[in-house]
Amino acid sequence: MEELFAVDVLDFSDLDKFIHAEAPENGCTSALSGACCPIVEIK
Amino acid sequence: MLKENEIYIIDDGHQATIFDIVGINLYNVTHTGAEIIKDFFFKKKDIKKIAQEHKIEKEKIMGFISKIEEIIEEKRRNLRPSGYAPNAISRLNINVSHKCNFACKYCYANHGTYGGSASIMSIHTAIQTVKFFCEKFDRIDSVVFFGGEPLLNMPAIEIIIKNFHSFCKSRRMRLPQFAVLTNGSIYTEKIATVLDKYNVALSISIDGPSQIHDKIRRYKKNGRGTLKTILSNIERYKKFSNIALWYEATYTPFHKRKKMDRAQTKYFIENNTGIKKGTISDAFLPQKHIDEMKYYCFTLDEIFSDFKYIGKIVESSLNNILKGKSFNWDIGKMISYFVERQPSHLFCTAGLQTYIVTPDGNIYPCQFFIDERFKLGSVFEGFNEGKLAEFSFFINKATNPKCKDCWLRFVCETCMGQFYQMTGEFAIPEMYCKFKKKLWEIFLMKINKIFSDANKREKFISNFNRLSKGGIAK
Repeated sequence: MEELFAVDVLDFSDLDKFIHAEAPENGCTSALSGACCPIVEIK
Repeated sequence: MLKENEIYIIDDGHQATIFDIVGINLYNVTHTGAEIIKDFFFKKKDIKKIAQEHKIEKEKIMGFISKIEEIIEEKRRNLRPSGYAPNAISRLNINVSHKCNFACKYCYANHGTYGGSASIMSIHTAIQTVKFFCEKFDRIDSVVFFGGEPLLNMPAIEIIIKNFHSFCKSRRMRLPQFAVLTNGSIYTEKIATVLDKYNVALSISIDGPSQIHDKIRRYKKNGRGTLKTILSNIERYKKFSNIALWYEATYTPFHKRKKMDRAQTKYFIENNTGIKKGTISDAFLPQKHIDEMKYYCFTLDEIFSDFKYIGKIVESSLNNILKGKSFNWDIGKMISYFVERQPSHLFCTAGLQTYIVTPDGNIYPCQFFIDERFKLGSVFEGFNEGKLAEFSFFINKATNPKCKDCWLRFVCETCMGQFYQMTGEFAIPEMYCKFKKKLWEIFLMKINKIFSDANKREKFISNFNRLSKGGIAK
């Protein structure tokens, strides 16, 4: 029963801030995020 | 009391994800837990009825409801206020040339002229552009030379960079990061030396192997293909160590007809140029050029109805982070909403933190809005405050009835410019909303599965932190 009512808080606090603003953006738009693409695809 | 329009639940029948819309947090609950939350908060059923239907004691239901409310309220507390740095520009595009030596089959900008004349920016306008923006703003993160083909006006690029250096020094401003978006057909040692001296990044357009690239990116003058010249110029630019090279590929229906998918296109470019960083985006069909471009550009329906593709992309991108293999920028951006926890109120920052200056010195919100209707001012006469206010109204989600109550209202950003080009209207197409919601549902369920498993979570975080650092420019 206890398990039925479990609530896990998904914790993202250990993730580093993703510094996408540091890359200059190019002229296109991403269909997925809808945002201007940076001139970078992170490997 | 939690309100129905404050949380969104995605339930696969075993595990459910609660997305706290207002607090930008995620929770993992059981399917039964999710059913009870829906019954109580959405359907407003009373506790007694819920207890009877689920055959669970009333007290336990009450305990669960209070616990979930308490946790969600508590976690909302440290939300960062939304807002944009005043007097700061994230990207300033400068169209130093509306001339272009290419006639690409999918060009929405009338081969560089944007429907005007094939002009280039004068030195006088170039100097005034730097003066205007440096006096008006305290911070400019990046300056992108755009066009047309910007390298057809190297004198303007050079004077702009030099003037930024002296203005930034005298005003103690941080120097912007400079980049040129080029078709790759132009190289001289003099150009490369200047770009190298000032650490200017080059983003070079290249669309794949000759049987594709040379059919869609041709010289305007003689219709010949351009790939051979571009590949040879890339080798010459590589000799200058301060020029960071990126590729920018456009994926078209022509690729599809030639049985080349996005991954194969990327593979070809990376292997034949040695450039490992870049983007691939879909060519979109501009409403003004439907007849001449329909064979080379995707319609809204073609871009935003491939739900199978979204699932595949989300799954493989998250798996690639888990395996420590690669990092997809779009997925990184979606995850970043839960890290930064700052609600976004605008579709984009065009006209607020992003501007484009045309060769005549006129200022517009971005390259997709180079149109008299959206002219925000000029570097000679200053901003038109009325036009700025009008545009900021357009890009504000709160003024859009479709977005007002949408469960993605604080994490959805989109390119209104692309929709304006495709439809001629300042509106978000319904199919895009459906696409975006599906994308987020798949993403949230998958991220829940990773983060609710301690081992996977640990692996994911360590890979994310390592991979995301590796790819930032410079």
